[in-house]
Amino acid sequence: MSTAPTLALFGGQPLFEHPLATGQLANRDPERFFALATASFERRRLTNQGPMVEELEQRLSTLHGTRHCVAFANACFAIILALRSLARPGATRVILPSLTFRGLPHLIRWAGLEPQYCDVDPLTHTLSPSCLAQLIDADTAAVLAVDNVNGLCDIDALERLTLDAGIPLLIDAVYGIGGHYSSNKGKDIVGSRGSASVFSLHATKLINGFEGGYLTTDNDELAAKMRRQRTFGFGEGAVPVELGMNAKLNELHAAMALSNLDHMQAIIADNKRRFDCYQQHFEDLSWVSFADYSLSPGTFSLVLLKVAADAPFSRDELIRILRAENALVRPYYSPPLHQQESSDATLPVTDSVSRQFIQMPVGDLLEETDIQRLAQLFKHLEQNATAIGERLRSNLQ
Amino acid sequence: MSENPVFTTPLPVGQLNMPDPAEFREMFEGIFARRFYTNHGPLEHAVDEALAAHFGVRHAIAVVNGTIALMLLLRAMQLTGEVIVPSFTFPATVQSLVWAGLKPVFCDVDPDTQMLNAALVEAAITPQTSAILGVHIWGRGCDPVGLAKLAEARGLQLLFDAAHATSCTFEGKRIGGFGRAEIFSFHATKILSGAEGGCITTNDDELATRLRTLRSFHASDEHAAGVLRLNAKISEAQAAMVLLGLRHLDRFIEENRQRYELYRQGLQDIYGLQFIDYAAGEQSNYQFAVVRIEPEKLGMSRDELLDWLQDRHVLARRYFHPGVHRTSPFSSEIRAELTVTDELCQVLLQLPTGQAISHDDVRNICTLIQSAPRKRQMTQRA
Repeated sequence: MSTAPTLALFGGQPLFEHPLATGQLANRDPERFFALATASFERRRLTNQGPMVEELEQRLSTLHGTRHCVAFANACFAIILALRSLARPGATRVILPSLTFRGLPHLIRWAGLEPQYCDVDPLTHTLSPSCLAQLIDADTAAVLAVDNVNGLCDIDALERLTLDAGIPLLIDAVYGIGGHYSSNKGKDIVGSRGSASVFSLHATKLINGFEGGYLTTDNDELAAKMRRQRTFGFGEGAVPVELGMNAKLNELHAAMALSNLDHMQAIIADNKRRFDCYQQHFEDLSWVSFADYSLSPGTFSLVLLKVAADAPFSRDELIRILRAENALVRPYYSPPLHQQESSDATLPVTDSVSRQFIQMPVGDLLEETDIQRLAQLFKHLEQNATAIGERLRSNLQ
Repeated sequence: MSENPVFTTPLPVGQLNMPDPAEFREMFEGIFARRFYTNHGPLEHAVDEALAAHFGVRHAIAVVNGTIALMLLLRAMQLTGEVIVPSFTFPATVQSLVWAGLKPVFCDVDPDTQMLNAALVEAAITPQTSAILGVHIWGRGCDPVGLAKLAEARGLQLLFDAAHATSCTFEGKRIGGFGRAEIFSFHATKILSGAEGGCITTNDDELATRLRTLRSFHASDEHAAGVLRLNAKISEAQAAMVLLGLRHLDRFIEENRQRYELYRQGLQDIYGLQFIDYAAGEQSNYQFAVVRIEPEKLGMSRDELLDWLQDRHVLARRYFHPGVHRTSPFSSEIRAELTVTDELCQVLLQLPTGQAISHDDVRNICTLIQSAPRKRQMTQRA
């Protein structure tokens, strides 16, 4: 950046030769994976709750401090099946934050229910207990709360509200893995609260299992149902005793997850180091800052950069510039779900937060020098804000 | 071969074809070098192309497993109301209909083919029927021509569960291109394995585009408003396994054919036990060895023979049993009189097949069946 090259958006060479990803993409011990895969071939056991899925479930239930862990082909199936099992009979709506993963309303509908969007807390971006209290009524089938990378749920408040109303609380804890809730109760490990929690083993998440997911719970009956329903509702002798599907995790994916699970603390430490590096190199830029991570699980799986309202570039302009440079950043949960679905819900905090954040490059492939170069790019944009801004906006017309 | 063969390790039903270790390592080192593990990677693209070529169709859309393939297809076809389906099938065929918001209407099957045919289906059509879901049992075509004529005449959609039928033909035409779409399974017990896996095949461009949108939540040009999407992606690991399997599919089929022939010959003279020669006259993958028991003639019931074999490490299976109409939730919601299905569920038995089973194993299983103690030993011969 020393000679102020032309931005890639204006026809220059992209700053990064290889794309910078926004996911973890850890693969810490390929030889361990090959050894586990070879053992599965020798057993001729590649699926149907093989020994590696069993081992993974045992280790994850220990990690989360729960009686049960049930593995699935991916987290979506865990959410569909858990919602369908937990939903209050006769009720149709599932309350969830609007500022979250775009797949969730689809999963709610696969479970035969309808989404209802709730506003979020301005600091953690998790379900706002005061807004939730106003939405809960006789037609509420379940609450689907979400733990975020920068902040965990107000679990005590959410449990109190849902328990009082007799409503199940399912937690999408994908980004809460490894964290501890700020709670007045003794048990604070993420995964151990609410009716059940769901996690992901997708390659972009902390523990890479190619694809995969799991549910943790202390509820024996729910765990038994989940185990049956992921395998066609089979009871004894492979005869269905209830509706199910194929949501099984295969042994090769379990092998990959196991090979990375051994290195979870190292992955987290590396993420923390990269996050510190971001903070250090972006320190002098007054018009961008990072989300408040004070109530986060401490995994730093995502780096959320906040663009100030009076910044020389809008959030979406920065995303266009960065993507052209091969930094594959994304808008963070934007547009929010209630806007995507043209819902008439009024969610002022969600509307505001959804316009502010960029999901920056992270993960095992990101070097400290990449972070330095990103910071230099931002400084270049700052120094040449008027000229670049004019060219950017004239290009739009 | 001893008079009373004893197996020291269990002999499973199911293909359980494992990859070549060197090829596996090379393929997975490629994935690791690319750091591309899922999310529509190059191997998903490659497997979609390879499967479309294999099945002789314009489009194959690979997904996480065969059940999800069917759930996604039923949603993508935007069907409503009732769908006619056999009860003599794997439970996932019928369960998928419920997940797609549809009502299964069970239809009995032809006793000779164990499948639906146009005449049986026609009698089950009501004003609420929107589609016919045929199942190619043992990889034999489920009256695809007759059902297509019926569907066209009555304005119905037609699709097939071809989970059994990879590399099989009907009247010389490869299964995969019948109906509006078909689904296949690449479960580890099938001839082509992705550990888990499945795909949808179709010649319908619009349907294929919609399915590619629906199989993930990724950004797409196709808006697909109102249709539910799902993470149904096949991972690069699963796609790699299917691609490795395709390299050796002809060999797997030939090995199956040899076992099939050994079974056919070894079981031909047992009074009251008929080897189902489903492959006659067509290309088949020969992945099943199925026998039909006539208890009165054999002198023992299917379940008695099953128990006796399982006690001797021959893990034969009742398949299918019971009929799906007799399982929850359908047994309590739908009354269906399916006499042929009920009978088939009492008399069919699957024997061990696949890579784990040697020629000697097959011969020994045949010997073992011949030596099974009949309670009512019959003396007359057919």
